[in-house]
Amino acid sequence: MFVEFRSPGYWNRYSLVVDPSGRDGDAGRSDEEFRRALVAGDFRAAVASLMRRHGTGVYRFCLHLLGDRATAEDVLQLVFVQAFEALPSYEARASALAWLLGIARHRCMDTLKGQRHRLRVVSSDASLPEVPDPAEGGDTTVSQRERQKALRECLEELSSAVRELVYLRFSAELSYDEIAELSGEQAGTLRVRISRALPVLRECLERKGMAA
Amino acid sequence: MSEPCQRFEKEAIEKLEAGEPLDEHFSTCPDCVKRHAQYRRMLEGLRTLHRGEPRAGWEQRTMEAIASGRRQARPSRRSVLVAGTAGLLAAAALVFLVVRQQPVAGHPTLAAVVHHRGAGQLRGEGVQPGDVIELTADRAGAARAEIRVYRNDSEVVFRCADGSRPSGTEQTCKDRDQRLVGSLVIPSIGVFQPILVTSARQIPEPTWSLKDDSARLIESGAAVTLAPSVRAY
Repeated sequence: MFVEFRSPGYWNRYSLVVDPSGRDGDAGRSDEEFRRALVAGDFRAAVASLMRRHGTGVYRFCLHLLGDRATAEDVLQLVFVQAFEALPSYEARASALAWLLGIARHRCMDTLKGQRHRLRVVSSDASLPEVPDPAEGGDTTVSQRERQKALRECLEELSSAVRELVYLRFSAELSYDEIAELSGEQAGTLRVRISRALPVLRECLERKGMAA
Repeated sequence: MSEPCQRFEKEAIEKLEAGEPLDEHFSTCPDCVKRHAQYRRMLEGLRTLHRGEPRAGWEQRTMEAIASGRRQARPSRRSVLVAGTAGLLAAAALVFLVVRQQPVAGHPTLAAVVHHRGAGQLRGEGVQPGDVIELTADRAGAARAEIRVYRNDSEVVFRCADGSRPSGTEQTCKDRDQRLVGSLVIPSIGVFQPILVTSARQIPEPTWSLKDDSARLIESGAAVTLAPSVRAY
């Protein structure tokens, strides 16, 4: 017997059946605002809408790739300037965010190549100082920090490609369609890869005494 | 003691990720319920792992950059330093050329033109890696001449001299009478400074630093002519 069992909690946030965009309900409205501005030919309003909605996500993606806040911010601005320049030829895609992250990825890679840095993906965050999350009111407990440290270490055990996939899916909260557009791979392939990666992460956390 | 149920990892994860409903087992099996809770905590951990916000006002700075047509709203301290150093070197070289007796007849010139390559949907108006810098130098009768391009004041990415061939596969160099004509594909972001060195004597080998090389070249009696720098993003 099958029942419509949709578990409460975070997993549903990432399930396409609940929210195809992979993000909250405000996302649709904001991208709608962007599309309206685009149709009206108001490119400044369009890029302003994109910055409001996706600026933090693009910044975190750049930070995740570059591992340096100042550089990430430089690239963030560059991404939106370039997005503005490209808006007249913008074609509707799965999401504006995937398009922006595509630009960001290229610019981050250029920066990494320019700086001759080794490509660092999720692991780059490990070297960053701990930054209190305003949403948590600075009340991050020691156990939470230990758990985050363990999670970072466990992510290190994944290949860089899978780490990036896990990042895009669960940190950037992209849908599989969006990741597929960004990576050029099939959504089904990506889903299988995630399904194999999560148990590896879980087992690693368990070994570190953090899975309970 | 029996092994815990493994069905959650074997079946449920992919179904949840595909947005498919789970069967009743997963809501009644204690092992699966526990496992599901573990994954919820892990995914929440991943969601909150990557924090950080750009500095306040970045949107305004970006809009200002858009309004002014700049490709970068707030140059990094490093790029300011590089640009400043290049500017100072350019000024120093020009002053030196004015006050020093010219080692060769006439006035050597160096022109740099950037051609966009592979113009695609995502590219803008600025210079990007992959674009091509074409360089044309008039040696003005100098016995020796060489075009160099320095990247970020710290490495030589292009050399074109009498009878020599550039090392890079995406570079060209030709010696046509009094002119050296070369090109290079911009390999990465950065500030690219083309210079033309002319001399009556052997030109010293570069040491990778524009500042050091300029001093050595001038010391050797060579003249250094700078073209406008090219900044690639």
